[in-house]
Amino acid sequence: MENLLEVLKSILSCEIEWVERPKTNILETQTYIGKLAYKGLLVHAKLSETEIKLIEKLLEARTEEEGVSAQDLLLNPQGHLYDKVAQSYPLRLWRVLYKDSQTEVRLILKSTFRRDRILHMSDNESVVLTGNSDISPIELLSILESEALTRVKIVVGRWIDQASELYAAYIESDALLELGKLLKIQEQVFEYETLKIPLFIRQMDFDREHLAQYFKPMGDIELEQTALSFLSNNLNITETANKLFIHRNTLIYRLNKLESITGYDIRKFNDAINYYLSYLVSQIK
Amino acid sequence: MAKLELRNINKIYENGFHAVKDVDLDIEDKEFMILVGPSGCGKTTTLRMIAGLEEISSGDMKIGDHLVNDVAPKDRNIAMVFQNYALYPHMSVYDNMAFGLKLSKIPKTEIHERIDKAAKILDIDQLLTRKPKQLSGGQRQRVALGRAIVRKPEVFLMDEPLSNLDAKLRIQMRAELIRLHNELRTTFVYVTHDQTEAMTMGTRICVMNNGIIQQVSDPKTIYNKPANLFVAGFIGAPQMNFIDAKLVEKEGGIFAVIEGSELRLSDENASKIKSGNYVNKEVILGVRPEDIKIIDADNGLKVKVEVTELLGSDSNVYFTFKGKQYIAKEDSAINLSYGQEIQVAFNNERIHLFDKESEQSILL
Repeated sequence: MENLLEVLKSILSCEIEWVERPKTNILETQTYIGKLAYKGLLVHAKLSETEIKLIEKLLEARTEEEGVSAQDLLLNPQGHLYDKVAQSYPLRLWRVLYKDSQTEVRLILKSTFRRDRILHMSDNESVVLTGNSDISPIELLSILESEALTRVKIVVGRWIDQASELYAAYIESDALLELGKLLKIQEQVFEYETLKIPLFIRQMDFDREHLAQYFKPMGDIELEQTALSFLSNNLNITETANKLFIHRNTLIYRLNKLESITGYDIRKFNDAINYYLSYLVSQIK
Repeated sequence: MAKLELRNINKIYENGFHAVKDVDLDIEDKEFMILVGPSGCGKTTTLRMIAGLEEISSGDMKIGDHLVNDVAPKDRNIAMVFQNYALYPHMSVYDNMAFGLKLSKIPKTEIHERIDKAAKILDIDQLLTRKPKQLSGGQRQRVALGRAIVRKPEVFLMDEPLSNLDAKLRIQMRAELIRLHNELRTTFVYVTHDQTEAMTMGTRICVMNNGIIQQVSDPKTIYNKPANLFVAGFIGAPQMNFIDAKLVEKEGGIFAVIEGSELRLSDENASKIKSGNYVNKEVILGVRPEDIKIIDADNGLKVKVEVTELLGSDSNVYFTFKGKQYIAKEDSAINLSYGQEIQVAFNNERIHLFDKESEQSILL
């Protein structure tokens, strides 16, 4: 039993405290292992449903990629040594959410990420574990939308160094999606790097409701969007004006108006930081 | 081949943002329709609703005679081309073009025929064995177009497809897309923020702002008869000049009074002003840079030269009048210096007048 547990741990690359076996036919490993991939039989006091699902999907992906059954994988103590993913950390988790065209999306992912592990979490969601991908998230989005013709969202999580961080990265991708909504990001790609500070604020343990009273939203969406665009264009007036297709004088007028309302002249670095953090706190209540 | 009908289309996002407001638009079969407007105007959202990639909050969308509100994008017989001409990095040009067809389970021989034909149209038949990394930006965009063409869609939907190309290539691809449209004889719907692209490529242009259609017409009408202040300012480079004016009636005609100077308006415009009850009212007068001329006479507006930009065939002259800056387009031979006082006159046949409150043209 102990040996089996060790094998399981390394193959599934996760912490497993104990595994419940069927009460009858204890020695019939085929039944035992055959059922392992199903929810309910693999039991861990600390495993959540999502964790179990991730384990199942990892196992599924490996059996499919390597053309062997789950029990073969589990019975071969050396099986884990051939796990291509285990040997290619650090990796990032790309979570791809799609409305329909499941078959097409899966084929495109398989064809695009040939060397990477793909977990099909549900009919509308796949997770790719990839290193330095040949393709950017925005390019993948274009390919999926133009080839599979379905609405797609992609969340790119943080770099992870080992499989045990996978669950945390997966849960974090939920938070990134939620932040995208809160911050009214109209885009379809949400990346950890660009949402790192909002994520940090979201995780901070302070009375945000209370703080938000001091940082009330302006209520002027156009001005708010202008400010955000100015911040994302590195406080560069010409670039921001070009991006928004407005005259630079219009931009300067709006920035002056923002200063008169908020007191922050976001052309100055310190004011820009203060304004941005205030904005985030007000949004991430 | 298909026409498109958009009836009272609205898009309201979960966060309450009303991106597209009551859009009513007919796109004829084989038309090259351009949706143009500034960032956030709703043009891309409208295109994505046509594709089925965004749900319609309310309204009806028809492709051909079929209501497609609830039809999945892959069943709409459309093809999309995006700004990011993303290709499968490890596949050859041929396989990139074939992949979508393989997904649709098209027989091999037909896939080959379609790719062969599209490659010839796009002049990429010599590149079929190359990988995307071995292609220039323009060639990659052509492959992306090829991928759309081989689908044989009823409608091509393009979202800023030339934005990632450099200026020279963009001009070249503009001409190629016009040729492609003529050759394929299919409906094109093309989104751009670039008014030059809109003016040069579209059979008709739909100008949008804040989720609302501002004007739909052919390029000439949009340029010469803008429906409102927004269209007048958005279309045309350099931008149209706007000056506050008052309309008065005297000596049997209508005059626009600009800071004490008077400009007699044409009889045709005068009758429109009278019938619209704009006599003695403040309006916004618009005049395009090419309709302002420097004159020798004394009866023009006295202005001061700020900067002259030589563009080769002509020059942009920036001048100030009563503290505000305006632009005139003059012959390149003109020689002016900073601070020089000159007199300018407007071509009164080609001026535009807008209601100060509604910002609508009062001459249409």
